[in-house]
Amino acid sequence: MPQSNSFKTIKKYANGWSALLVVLVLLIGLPVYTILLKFIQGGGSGEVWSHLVDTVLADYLLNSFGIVLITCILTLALGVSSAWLVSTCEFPFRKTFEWTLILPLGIPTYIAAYTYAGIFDYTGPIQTFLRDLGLIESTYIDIMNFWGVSVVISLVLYPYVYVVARSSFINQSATILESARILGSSSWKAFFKIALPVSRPAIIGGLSLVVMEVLNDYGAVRYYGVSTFTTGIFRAWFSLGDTGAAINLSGILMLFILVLILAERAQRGKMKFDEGARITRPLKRYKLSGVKKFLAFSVCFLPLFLGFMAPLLQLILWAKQTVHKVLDKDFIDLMLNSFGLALLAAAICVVISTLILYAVKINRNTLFRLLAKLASLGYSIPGAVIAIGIMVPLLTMDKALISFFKEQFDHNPGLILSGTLFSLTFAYTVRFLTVAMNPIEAAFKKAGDSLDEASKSLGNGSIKTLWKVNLPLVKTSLFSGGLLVFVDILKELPLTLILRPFNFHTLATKAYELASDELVAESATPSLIIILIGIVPIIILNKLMVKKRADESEYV
Amino acid sequence: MNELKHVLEIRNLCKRYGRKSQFAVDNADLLVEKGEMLALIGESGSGKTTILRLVAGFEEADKGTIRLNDTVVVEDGFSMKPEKRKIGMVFQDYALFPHLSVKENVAFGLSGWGKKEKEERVSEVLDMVGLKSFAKRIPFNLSGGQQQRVALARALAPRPSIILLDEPFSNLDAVLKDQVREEVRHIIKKAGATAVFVTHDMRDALSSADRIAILKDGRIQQVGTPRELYEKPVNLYVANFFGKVNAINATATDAGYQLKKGMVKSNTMKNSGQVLIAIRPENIHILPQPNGESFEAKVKLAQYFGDHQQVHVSIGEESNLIIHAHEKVLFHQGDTIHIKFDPEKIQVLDTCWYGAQP
Repeated sequence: MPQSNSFKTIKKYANGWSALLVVLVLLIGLPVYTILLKFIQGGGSGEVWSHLVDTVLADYLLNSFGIVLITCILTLALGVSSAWLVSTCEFPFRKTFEWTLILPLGIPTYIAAYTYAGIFDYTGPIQTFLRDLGLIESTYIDIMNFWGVSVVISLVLYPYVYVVARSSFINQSATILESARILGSSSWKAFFKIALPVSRPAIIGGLSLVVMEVLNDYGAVRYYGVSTFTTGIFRAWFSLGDTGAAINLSGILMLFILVLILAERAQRGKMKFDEGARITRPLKRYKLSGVKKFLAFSVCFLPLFLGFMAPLLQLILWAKQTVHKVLDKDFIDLMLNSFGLALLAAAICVVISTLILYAVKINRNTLFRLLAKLASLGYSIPGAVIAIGIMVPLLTMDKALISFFKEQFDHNPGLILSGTLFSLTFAYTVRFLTVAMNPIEAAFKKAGDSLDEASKSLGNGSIKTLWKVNLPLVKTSLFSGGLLVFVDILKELPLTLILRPFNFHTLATKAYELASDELVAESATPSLIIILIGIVPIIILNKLMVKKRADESEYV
Repeated sequence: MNELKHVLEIRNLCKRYGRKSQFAVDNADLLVEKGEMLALIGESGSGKTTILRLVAGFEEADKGTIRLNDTVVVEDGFSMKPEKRKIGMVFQDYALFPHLSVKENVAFGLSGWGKKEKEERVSEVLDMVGLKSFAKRIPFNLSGGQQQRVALARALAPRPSIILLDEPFSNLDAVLKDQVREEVRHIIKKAGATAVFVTHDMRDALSSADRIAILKDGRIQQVGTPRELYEKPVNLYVANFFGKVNAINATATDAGYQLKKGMVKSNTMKNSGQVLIAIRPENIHILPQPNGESFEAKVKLAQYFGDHQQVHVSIGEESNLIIHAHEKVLFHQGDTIHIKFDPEKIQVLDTCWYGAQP
């Protein structure tokens, strides 16, 4: 029976795994194409939208992109300078800085925002101190504005740049920098002419994460009273009750992010050489002396102090004053809520990631690989946009369900899907799937194909092979993937604010609500718990990275 | 009543990767007999590993038939899943499960077996490969040779109808290689298994295989015992695979092979017309005196190798013939000598493939 080639191909890939893959990807992508579709259809051409366009849209645009621009410049300066110093120079506490400089990543932008607002408040330590010295009378230092929020956000997001810049500097072979020096470049020139251009793709990759975090932020800008796209979506949804306007704002934001992703890919594609650079021999660090030593120390200490130590200290002081008021039975419930929900969603993310990645592994095929990539798009899309993208179709479904129940059973079941923990868990899965996927994908890649083939040649089908061979091999990555998702969900604010059921709180929403209600000191305890848990994976992952490097250097 | 002779039967097997015009496997036919060890040998890209993976079921054929123990496993778009084929496979990187002990690795393919049977079989095969005392170790701690024996034991344990080995010796260092080759052959023979292995190293094939199939550009050039391949190569590619050979253009007549400078008489002529003939260096003899069948040759280069001399000579336009001479006298550049071809040892080559020009 002769068969055409395309038919054969379809037959080859038509199995349970590929069907599962397609279904999962379609589900995960639901909010993305809901927004895109409705946006293209002209979701909000109504009065509210044209009113928004006439009045505040320009503000949203200017503020959002202004903050993006300033945070890019600041994180670049803070991240690259400290990364260069710790990877090429030798000075006191260098080793400590190497990993502590990552810590600000553990402080969510909204917590940093209200902590700094408190520090610079009229009754806060700075103004009090300055008044006591008699340096200022009662002049009000105001950081609650566009500039203030940009700086505060940069202080906790610079580690995205720092991490990629450092690993790129370390992985650059010592020989290219040394040959630049021998050819007569000063160390400054070597930095600008060699190290920076070679690391450029990596650094821009880190910077694009900063941009996505900034566009995702709702808490910080809202607290400082700066209107951006995200606050606009909230306002359109909650205050104006206009779905169309919220969809339009989301659509614009999402298109911008898609362009950003493509641009980032393109710039990486052209500069492939940094990936090929092998570690030939670790760079010999340049020993600094005298004033230079002190300067290098300061350059690294400043971001660490401002981005981590100062806000942490302030939070600890507040928590000491208020912990007895905050810690009650409700608070225990709150923690159980938060942990339980984060645990559930993390487990779902791990299971779905594993299924998707295994389906791709079995059906080695470009189309499936692309589908898996699509499923991981969620992390780059702001939480508020995902929330709207989930709320809209779920509300429609709920309406249909309610009318169905009314007709058939004369009974109103209320909202089943939207405004429940279901929609919240669904949204977490969409947004944080990639976070679980990345380590699991790497582990699958490392495990290779021959073990699967060995298992098959010994009579095991694909499910047994997954269970008996692949899962035991990747279990550490399943754990670390799950841990990362868990921590991210614990910190998550905008998505939770929109989708949480009525009167349901997580640590993040509670902390933010307290801070917004002028109870900043009371918000310190939940904030500290979020930060401390957030630091755990940072330390674990850094330990793993250091250990890996130590293993590698044995072969050098 | 008709006892099964062929464990593996491959007919007209074709495979192309993607949209490439070149076949990875081009119309391959192969029969593997029960209990024999067959080597698939060829350069990288010759299609040898693809044939192995097609038999195992990890790739899908475009055309052709594969039968295992008379059961069709590949035919006309049908392809039995690899886990159903009851094949044992030893992978190039051994593919031992790193999270399981040696014992658990070996027991992996015995999932349907009873507990007692399983234990007995595991200790039996571990005994066979001489690793009984390593049963509780994890593979990571074993040497390369030991890991390979575990892989072999794991493949043998479910008593597969055939064992496939992908470049089994390529990850071993030279010293270990000789020893492991013997061990592997010994174990497979002791187990009474049928085996096909892929290699690019002729010495692997010669020391371990009963028969050898030589591949080039996806085509099986010749299958035979080492002696058949050495003495009766069908084309220049096969002839060259086993060391040096002299290839000469000649005209075949009823009386023998007519060269430019004379005639090699033969009474076993099959061909006629223009042919390419091959003769090994040891089958050209140096005569003390010219006779009616000898050719006059000029020594261009003589190299002394202890047990023999390698003499490069020219006869007329045949400018570089190699002779392995066992004479005591030393030859020198410029000497004139008399040589004779052994007509029995002349092989006419197929010039359709790889040998149009010597």
